[in-house]
Amino acid sequence: MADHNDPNAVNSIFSDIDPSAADVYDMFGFPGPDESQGDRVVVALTFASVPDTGVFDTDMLYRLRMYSHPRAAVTGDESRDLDTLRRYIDGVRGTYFGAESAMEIRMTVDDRGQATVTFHDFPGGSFSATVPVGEVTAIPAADGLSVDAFIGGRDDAFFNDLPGFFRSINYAPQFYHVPSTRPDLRELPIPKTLLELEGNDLFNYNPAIPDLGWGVKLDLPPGPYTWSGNSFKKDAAGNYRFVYDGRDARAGQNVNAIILEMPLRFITRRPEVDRIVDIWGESWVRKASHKVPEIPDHPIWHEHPLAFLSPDHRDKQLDGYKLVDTVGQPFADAGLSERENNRQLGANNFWLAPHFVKRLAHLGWGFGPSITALGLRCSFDTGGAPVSVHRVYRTAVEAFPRARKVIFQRLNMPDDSWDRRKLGIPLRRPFEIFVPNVCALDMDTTGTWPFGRRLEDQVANRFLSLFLDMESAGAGGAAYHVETLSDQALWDAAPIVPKTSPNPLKNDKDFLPHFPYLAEPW
Amino acid sequence: MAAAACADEIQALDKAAAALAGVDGADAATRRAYLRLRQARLSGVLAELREADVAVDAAVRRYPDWPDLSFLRASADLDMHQPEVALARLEATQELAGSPAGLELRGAALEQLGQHSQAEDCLTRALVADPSWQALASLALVRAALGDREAADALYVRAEDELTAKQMSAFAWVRAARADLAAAAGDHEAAGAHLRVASAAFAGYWLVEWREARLLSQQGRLDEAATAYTAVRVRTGRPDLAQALGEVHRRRGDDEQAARWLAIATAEYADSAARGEALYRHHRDPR
Repeated sequence: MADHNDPNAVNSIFSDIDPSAADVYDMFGFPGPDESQGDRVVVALTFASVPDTGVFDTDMLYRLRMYSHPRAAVTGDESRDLDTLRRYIDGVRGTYFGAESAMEIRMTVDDRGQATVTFHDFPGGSFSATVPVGEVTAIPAADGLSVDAFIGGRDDAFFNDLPGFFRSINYAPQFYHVPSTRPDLRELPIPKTLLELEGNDLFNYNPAIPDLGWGVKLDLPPGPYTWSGNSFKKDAAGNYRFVYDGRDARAGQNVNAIILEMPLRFITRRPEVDRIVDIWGESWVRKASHKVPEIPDHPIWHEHPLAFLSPDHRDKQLDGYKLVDTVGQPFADAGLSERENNRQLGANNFWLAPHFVKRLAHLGWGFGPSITALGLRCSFDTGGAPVSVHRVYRTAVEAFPRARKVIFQRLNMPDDSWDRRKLGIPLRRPFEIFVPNVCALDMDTTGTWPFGRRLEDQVANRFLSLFLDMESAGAGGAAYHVETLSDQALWDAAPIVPKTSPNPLKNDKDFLPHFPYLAEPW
Repeated sequence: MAAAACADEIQALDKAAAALAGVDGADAATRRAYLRLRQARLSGVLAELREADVAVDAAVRRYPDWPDLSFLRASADLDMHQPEVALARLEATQELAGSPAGLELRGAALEQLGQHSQAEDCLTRALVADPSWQALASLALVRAALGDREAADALYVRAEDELTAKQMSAFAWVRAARADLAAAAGDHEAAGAHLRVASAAFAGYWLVEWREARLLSQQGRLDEAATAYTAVRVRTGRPDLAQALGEVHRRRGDDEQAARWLAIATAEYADSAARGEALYRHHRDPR
């Protein structure tokens, strides 16, 4: 036979790069503004608007998972060592039942444009509802409660200088055509940095090609793909050049979204106790075997996935899908998991903890010297390195000492407005934020990151603030906080161009003050 | 699934290729060549496969150092039944040698050469790095060649489980392979069931229709087999289908048609050999 080389004959190695409805973007979670009938929880999952804005891929299933629990008791300032981290991971893994016992909401859209939303294991029971796409709908639930739902296209609520981020980590595919067969040529072994490196011609801003990385890609020049310089780049006036320019790479672009607002009482019978709502999202794509059309007597013909709500049948529904992407914390994927497919674990990312330590240390060697060069105090121990260093670690044990403070320091907030009920809620620490990988919404806060995630949060600047030393006071006596890098005065005073916050400070469209909160699509 | 899913996909590939017209660079050249090769694979038209092969060659000549093109060239070498050439190319491209995709392709080449033990080793290593449906299906081919049909089918089932609704042609390919296994074991009923699923999953796929024709022949439904073979042969122009058609006619007792089709097959095998192709070198004069 002339085809026995197959399955290579239907190999899709070169065809898997198109935008995919399975690409989940962001998970937002914050308290709803109307508290007249008790706390309300807003959750929004956004993903690529494929096949089109407001038009959903009928092969997809989106899953929002939720788990409510009390706020953990305040822990003392325990030893900052790997053993403490290990005990935390073990403790969370041993006592955190979120992944197994979470409530969940599943959403599919049929070819008539009707969304089916199924609620599983909520205190009032399990049920499903049909929701028209693109309309705000109130879904009646048990106990006289109701869930507001919007499933449709919106403006992308993420505002970020993504090319700047990719420049900071020397991520070649943003700027160059990189062979699919060379995954080693994605993050090139050049020091990660917030300031351009002298002689880093592959990634430094090139005024002759101003749109490089902004839609323009070149063929990847021949190597070497390393950097052998010894200083940050400075202009004639002595200014460093930022890898960021503060533009919003997602301006004017849309997403498809699932946006829900529900009473906290709908999620837990003990709303006064269960003040934390962990939220994470997943995309699943239908398996080929479950797309085969109606064949008489084929078992799946008798088991239409949405026809059943009992746990057994739910499993059958998920059996017909394949998990593709997960989202909980911003930057847990792009920043820490390096977008690896096998790291799409959702909340169950415990085994990644050693990788996070190594990755944070790797990033610290890059970003740390950039921060100190600007006269800022850094939480990563650079050992006085004058310029960014490319260093990778084989083990967390090796990496940990340098990254100790990055991992353990409490992340200061700019003021106390986030603690809206003045309960003295402890500040969160990076290791608590990223493991498990969930958006852990604290209902006694405003839900601003890291106590949830509000639409207006500039999470990229806040992620970078992990590398600021938040424990020692600066010259003016003020401690750094998660919004320090969003302070224009800092950049105005720094020897750097352009004088911009790393990332844009607001979205391209104003958010709505009411449900569904995300702006109308373009 | 649309009635002509295969035709729809071929049309979509056309559109994708048209969108790349005039785009320069190794990446675009790779994608264009890949799209042509994929179109040819889906259509089954021998002339298109030859043209795609030429297009891949041209892209490689233009961008000789682009590893994706080396991979594509090696992949097309297997289409053209040149596993030794594919192996040599993979070995010459250092970056591909140890990658999961490279191991997969190497395993497929070794399987084509009948070097089953080495193929199994390669594919097992590929699967450790990336449990792809391709590696699973290639390993199934090896197991089937070794006579372990049960293990082969279990691997095909695993391969199916890796496939999504965005890969229906691949799903149909796997089901057709399972049909082959079942038919080889004499289980025509199971083979027919697999082919019905394959056809429903990806309608209009010549590879499935060929298997359907062959199953009809195996079942002794010779008139239907002749009709089915004729339809696929007309669409694809493949000499092995001409041979199969001739053999069905011979069994039907239609010696005139049998001789006609077998002569066509013989001439086309000779034509292929004259072109320097390895595609049909293992086919003897069927008359």
